[in-house]
Amino acid sequence: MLEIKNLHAAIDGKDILKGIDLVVPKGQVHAIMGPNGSGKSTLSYVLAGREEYEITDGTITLNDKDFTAMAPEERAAAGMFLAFQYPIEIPGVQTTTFLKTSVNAIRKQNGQPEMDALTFLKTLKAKAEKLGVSDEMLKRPLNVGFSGGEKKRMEILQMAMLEPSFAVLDETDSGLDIDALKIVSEGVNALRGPDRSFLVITHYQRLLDYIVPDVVHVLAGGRIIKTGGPELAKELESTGYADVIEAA
Amino acid sequence: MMTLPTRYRPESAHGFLQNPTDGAQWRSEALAQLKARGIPSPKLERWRYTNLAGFEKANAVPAQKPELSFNPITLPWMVQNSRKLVFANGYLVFGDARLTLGGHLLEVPYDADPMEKFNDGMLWALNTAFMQDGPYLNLHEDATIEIIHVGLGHDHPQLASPRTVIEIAAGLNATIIEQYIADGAGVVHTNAALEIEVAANANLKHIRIQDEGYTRTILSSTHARIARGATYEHSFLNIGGALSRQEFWMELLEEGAHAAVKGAQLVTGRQHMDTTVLIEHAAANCTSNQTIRNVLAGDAVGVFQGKIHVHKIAQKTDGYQLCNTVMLSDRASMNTKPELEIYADDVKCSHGNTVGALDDAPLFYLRSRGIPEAEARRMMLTAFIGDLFDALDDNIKDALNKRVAQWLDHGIV
Ligand SMILES: Nc1ncnc2c1ncn2[C@@H]1O[C@H](COP(=O)(O)OP(=O)(O)OP(=O)(O)O)[C@@H](O)[C@H]1O
Ligand SMILES: [Mg+2]
Repeated sequence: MLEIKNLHAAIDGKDILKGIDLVVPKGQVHAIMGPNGSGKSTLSYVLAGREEYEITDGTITLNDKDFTAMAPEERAAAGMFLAFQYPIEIPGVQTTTFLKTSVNAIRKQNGQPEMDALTFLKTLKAKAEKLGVSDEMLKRPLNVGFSGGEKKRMEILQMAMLEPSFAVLDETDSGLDIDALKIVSEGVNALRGPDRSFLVITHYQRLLDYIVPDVVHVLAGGRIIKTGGPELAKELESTGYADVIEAA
Repeated sequence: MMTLPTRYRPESAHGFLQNPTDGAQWRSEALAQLKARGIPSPKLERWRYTNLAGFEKANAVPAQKPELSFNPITLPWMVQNSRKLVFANGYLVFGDARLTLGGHLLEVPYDADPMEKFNDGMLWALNTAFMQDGPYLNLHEDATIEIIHVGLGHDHPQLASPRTVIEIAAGLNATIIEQYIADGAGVVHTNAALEIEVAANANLKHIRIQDEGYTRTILSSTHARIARGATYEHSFLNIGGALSRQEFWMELLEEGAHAAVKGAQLVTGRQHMDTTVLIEHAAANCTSNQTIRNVLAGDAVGVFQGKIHVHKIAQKTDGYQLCNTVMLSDRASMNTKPELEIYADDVKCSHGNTVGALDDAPLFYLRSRGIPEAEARRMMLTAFIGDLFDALDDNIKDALNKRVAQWLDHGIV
């Protein structure tokens, strides 16, 4: 379970998150929608532990662990995963090598033995195939020259390999074609289960047709201004944010 | 008209090397030149960033032939079936004496051009004045040759002056690997001079690893002359030396010649490391590539000066230069000076230069995947050195990359 209490965060002295309270129980999918610049990606970075953001007030706990002062790698080992809105290209680091390093780094932090090379490759191959990630992509440097959609698939493949207990998907649907949207959603749905929860950030109702959320929140001006069921997303799709923001 | 390498034109033997059998004369002329001009001072434009005052003050005496205290087989050789030579403080201590200057020191027509035009002459003259031995590789068949220079330290600082002469006959493929390593306490400084000629359509891969401890001054001057359709590719990995400066003067003398200098300077503590390159395009349709990557930590100082000089006749020149530096400490400093001097009108020359800390965004990305910060940094630095040595044979490439990895794991202070 993820619990965020009165979270305030700033970057370069500018307040972006201004008091967020949010609880995502185990097994649930929550969606966050909201206008550009409202702080959605900021929230995702703060959850993953990006150090440029300063938490000026409030707390984050995941499965009763206080995340607020933890390093990004410790958070990852404790089950946090962020699928980036803009995945980073890392020249010179081969994708497969990276994935293996990542899987084993997390296992090591959790006191587990390294995954042996054969099991790793088998697991990777099976999961990559399901997500339509080619062998050739796995041999290339991480994200370098990948198309927008390929990068998003790679994020979901990483999530599938790391099996986090909490995943934030920041606009994973943007840049995906219709078929890819389906494939990626299936990938996410396959991971849904009683011990795993998701925070899905999106601008489009369409994604939520595939990944049906339990709860939808609207984030504006660094605060959650409205919370509802899946129907809220449909409502926003037809009315836009203006009415909701005004009413808040 | 064809411009042939000087060595091929007997009538052009110049200066005090006119009579190569008269050893006493060329040595004393080099000494006279040295005395007249002195050790290069930072007042000279090309020596602005590197100060040899400490080296001069050390008052090193010319090195004597030392005793070797270890078995040369235990040295870090890279290629199984290479021909192997070991020099200690500039003297042959292991290997085939026929591949060295030792026996016929006085017969070889030494290259005197650098005394006039290169590194202001002084270091070349210093080497000429004191050299006793060194590799003499006059190749008429394909070969891989490995040379290890061991600097055996002394109570009173000594100066080793190895001279290397490499001549690759037309159409051959050769690989020459040089390693400079340290042994024993105490100090021996090194001032190496290398003259290299690559004849038409020959390919020379020259790999140089400078890993000679952290207490010594290590100087080297490399003059390469490259003929029609020939390539000279120099790859280096510089790790050692309290103060080091390597200079290259590469002359592309005939059409279709290619020169490359690709390497990494890994600098830490209070080290000072300098790479200075001059590439002269003296014929049309030649290409050159300078790819330099620096990692600086601690209070280190790095220098890269790279000049592309395109002569008027050198149309269709393609000259490339890129120098990238990662700073791991804000106390370290990097001095970079790119220079283009172009007299032809139809040329393509580019240079670029970046200096900065490791990027936060990829670092965070890796860490968000559970990779601890130190390892994430190491991955990024490994990637930064990256493909530098990719064109080399696997065993050489692996040895170089392994040495880089060792430095990243244990070398940074
Ligand atoms: N370094 C910074 N300095 C100042 N302001 C910043 C900085 N980084 C981000 N911001 C601001 O923070 C606000 C929130 O940005 P954020 O990326 O979280 O928005 P978002 O809700 O994800 O938007 P989008 O829907 O466009 O992805 C924006 O106004 C942005 O300009
Ligand atoms: Mg965003």
